[in-house]
Amino acid sequence: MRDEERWIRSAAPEMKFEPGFRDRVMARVREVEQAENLESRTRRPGRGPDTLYFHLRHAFPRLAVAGVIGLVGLGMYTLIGGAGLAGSPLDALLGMPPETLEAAFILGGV
Amino acid sequence: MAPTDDALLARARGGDERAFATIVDRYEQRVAVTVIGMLGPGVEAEETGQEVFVRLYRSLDRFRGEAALGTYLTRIAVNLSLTALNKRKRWYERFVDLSPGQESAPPTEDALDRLERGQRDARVRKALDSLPEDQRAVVVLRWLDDLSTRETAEVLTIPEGTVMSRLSRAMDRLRRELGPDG
Repeated sequence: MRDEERWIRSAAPEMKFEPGFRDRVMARVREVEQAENLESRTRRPGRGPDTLYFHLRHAFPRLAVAGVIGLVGLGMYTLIGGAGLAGSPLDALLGMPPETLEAAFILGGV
Repeated sequence: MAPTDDALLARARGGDERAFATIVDRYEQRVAVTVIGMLGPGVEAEETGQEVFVRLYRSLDRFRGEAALGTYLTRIAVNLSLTALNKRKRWYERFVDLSPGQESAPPTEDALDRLERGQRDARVRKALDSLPEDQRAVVVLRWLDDLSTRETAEVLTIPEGTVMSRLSRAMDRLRRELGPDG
């Protein structure tokens, strides 16, 4: 055995926790158990973090805000920039041709 | 005859606190060597040691003996120690003063023994602290936990060749730290 290995190995017996370690661990285990029991009692059935209800409920505020922002944006565009367009502002945004009688005849092959 | 780990685990799963306490007793020293070897003595090592057993308790239902209990606990101990070392890096001021602090002891024979032991432990501590985390983990597992190269590779989930190369690099550095000029 090399010197450095002997030195390191010789330190192992000194590496121990203070007396009463087991009791301190068991006290923490009881705390964890109590906290988990309390959590499971206060959680309503079927509404835990792994259910569809839970995910939908958390996603809803973000979806609702995004929807409102989209509607307001489209409304503003219609009011400000879309007044002079032949077709609807949405068609213009999507790059679609304006809905005219002539366009309808062309598309219909008449 | 002492109950096997499997028997104790089964009883602990059924809510037997004494069975779990026996597991703690059985593996306390092994976990102590791992976390104190990695982190040095102090509150941080104590808390990490406790957390190792709390993690085991929380995973009792999931632990199905894919690895030996000792290996499983050592793996948790190494991972938690590495996390603690990363935290320590981020909050540098949390470093523990590892100086032996026994220089003022009266010069009796017993005190001289303790002084010598304290100095030796402090040198070993300093040498271990000088190692990069990956090399320190290998030294702790191979020499302090007395695991084989294969077991060390299993705990750290690295190839055996990597264990040997890390150990070899660690030995070079330790030789410098612990040698007469260290």
